[in-house]
Amino acid sequence: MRCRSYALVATLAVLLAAAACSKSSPASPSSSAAAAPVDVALTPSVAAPRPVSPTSGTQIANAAQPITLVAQNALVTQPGGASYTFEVATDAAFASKAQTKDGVAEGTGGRTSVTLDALPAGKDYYWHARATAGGTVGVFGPSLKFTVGPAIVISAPVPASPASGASVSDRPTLTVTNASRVGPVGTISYRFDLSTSSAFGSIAVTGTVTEGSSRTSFTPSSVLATNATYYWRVTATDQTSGISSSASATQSFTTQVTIDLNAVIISFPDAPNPADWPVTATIGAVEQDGNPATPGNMCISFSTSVDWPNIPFFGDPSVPVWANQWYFANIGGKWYGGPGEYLRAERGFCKSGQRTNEIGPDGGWTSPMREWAPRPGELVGFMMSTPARSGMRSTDQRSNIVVQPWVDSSAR
Amino acid sequence: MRSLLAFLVGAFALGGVAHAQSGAAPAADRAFVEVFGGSAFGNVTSQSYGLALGATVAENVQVFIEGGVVRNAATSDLGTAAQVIAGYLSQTQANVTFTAKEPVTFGVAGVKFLVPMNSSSMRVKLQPYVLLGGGLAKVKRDVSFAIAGSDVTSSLGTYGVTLGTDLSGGNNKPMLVVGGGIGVPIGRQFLFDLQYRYGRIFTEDQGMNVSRAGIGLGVRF
Repeated sequence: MRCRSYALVATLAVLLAAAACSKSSPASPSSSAAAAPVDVALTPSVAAPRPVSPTSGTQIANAAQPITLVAQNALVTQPGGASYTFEVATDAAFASKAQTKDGVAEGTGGRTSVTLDALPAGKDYYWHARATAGGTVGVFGPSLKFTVGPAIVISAPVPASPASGASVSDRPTLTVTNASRVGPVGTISYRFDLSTSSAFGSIAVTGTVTEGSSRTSFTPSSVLATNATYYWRVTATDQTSGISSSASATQSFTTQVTIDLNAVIISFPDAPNPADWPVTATIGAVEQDGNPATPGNMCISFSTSVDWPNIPFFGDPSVPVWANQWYFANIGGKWYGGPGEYLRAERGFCKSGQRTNEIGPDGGWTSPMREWAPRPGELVGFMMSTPARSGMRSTDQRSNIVVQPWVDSSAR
Repeated sequence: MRSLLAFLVGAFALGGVAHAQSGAAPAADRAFVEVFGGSAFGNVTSQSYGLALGATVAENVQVFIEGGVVRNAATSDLGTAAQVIAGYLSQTQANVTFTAKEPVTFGVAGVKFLVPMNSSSMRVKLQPYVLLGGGLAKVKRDVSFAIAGSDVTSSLGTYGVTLGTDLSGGNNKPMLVVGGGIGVPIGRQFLFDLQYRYGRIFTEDQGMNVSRAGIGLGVRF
């Protein structure tokens, strides 16, 4: 009986010892055992994620940033809960890191991606990724190289013509000197904006044209308001990258009526049409008064860039003449005109007798200009040329045309 | 482990007292030393061997302590995990192979109950027994990878692989053993033991069941 009791005690003791061993764990391995953990969860093994894109050697335009890196999800022996670290460096050894993205959650579809912050342009970059799962930090996978292209910079175009503040026709041609540029640009286009406000609060006219060889021009498709001041500026844009310049300096112009000599009906017998004559003179001012109570002076001052020679007035050398005044009238929607008074050498720019009711009948014009009597405020065209009346000709040169309202002080 | 050793010392002491109380056992039955070996069965089949010591503490009751090695008790998890890594290596390398073993070194102590035999002649010839014990098993994850026959386990980092503890290292885990056998005395001092053991190692993953069947050859004192 005693032996059985002792056996029972011994059995119970063994069971208790076994139970105690299964519950308790030493905080650290014994010194005689290998350094192996006790009662800790097994950590998974991790294979590095393989890079997918951008592939090695990819060229990426600077304007195409930000760049997204894509890696194939890592193989982990205990799936779930992996996070990723992406590194970008400027050297293959990753000694000079440009950017690090850590703690990127694993993506779906077998791939994980991250979008980088903008990288400096014009450089080569190397990138790789690693995975961390269940306490195991994997190694970085293979690295790939990509290149970010140079930055594209487009300077503002420079306005060329018309000069700021100039008077122009109601369909002027605006021209800029092409914008300077840095980087791999494609085709550049120029957007011309016109506004009646210098602040460009509202755009009256806008148009986009492709860059010319050294200059680029734009002409509005429809006429602008007459006698109105417009402001204009130009912006250049690279159509490939979408990068634009800043706007050019703001210029202005004032529209005025212009006369196309090719369309003018010459109303003096045998007078030539000077449309093709070289413009070698510029009118400075036109001063006239059609008041019948005045001498009716008409003074068209001008300067020439080349010599306008004197010729004898109908063969009389004692009467040297060198220019004719021209007048243009809009009658029934058409422009009529012709050479008027001669300018005699050494006797200035003024001619008398050009009163409102005389300029037409006394001009030697054909009809309807012969019956023309300009109304005060009516737009009348003025021009100067070398002798062009009654067969008198010299070097066939002319000035520009100025259009301005007819003045008759009697109507005030 | 220290508490278990303390228990065994006490058990031997109790055994001596019980022996003094019940009357002296035959001189050949007081204690035994045995070496054993055989096959181990679990997820994989391998070999096991070891050494056992025991002493009689009461009539038909012995306490024992045994230690040994199971050469490979790898679970299916180990092979599956190793296959994942091998598959990854195969994406860029040819002729990738791997071995995944999980050798176990164990030490247990317990109680052996000799089944009483009515016929004195049968008792002399056969000594069936059952036993129960507990202890510790040191489980090692012995995994290696080779590429074209060259072992690359130590340089897996260059191939983009980091092994976790599921494929490397090892740890100590509790172990419970139940079993039985038949002892066949040979002469006055020797013992032939046909034995079976079932062991349960309480690992963190899927746990390990290891059965051992073999023979032992011992000396009786």
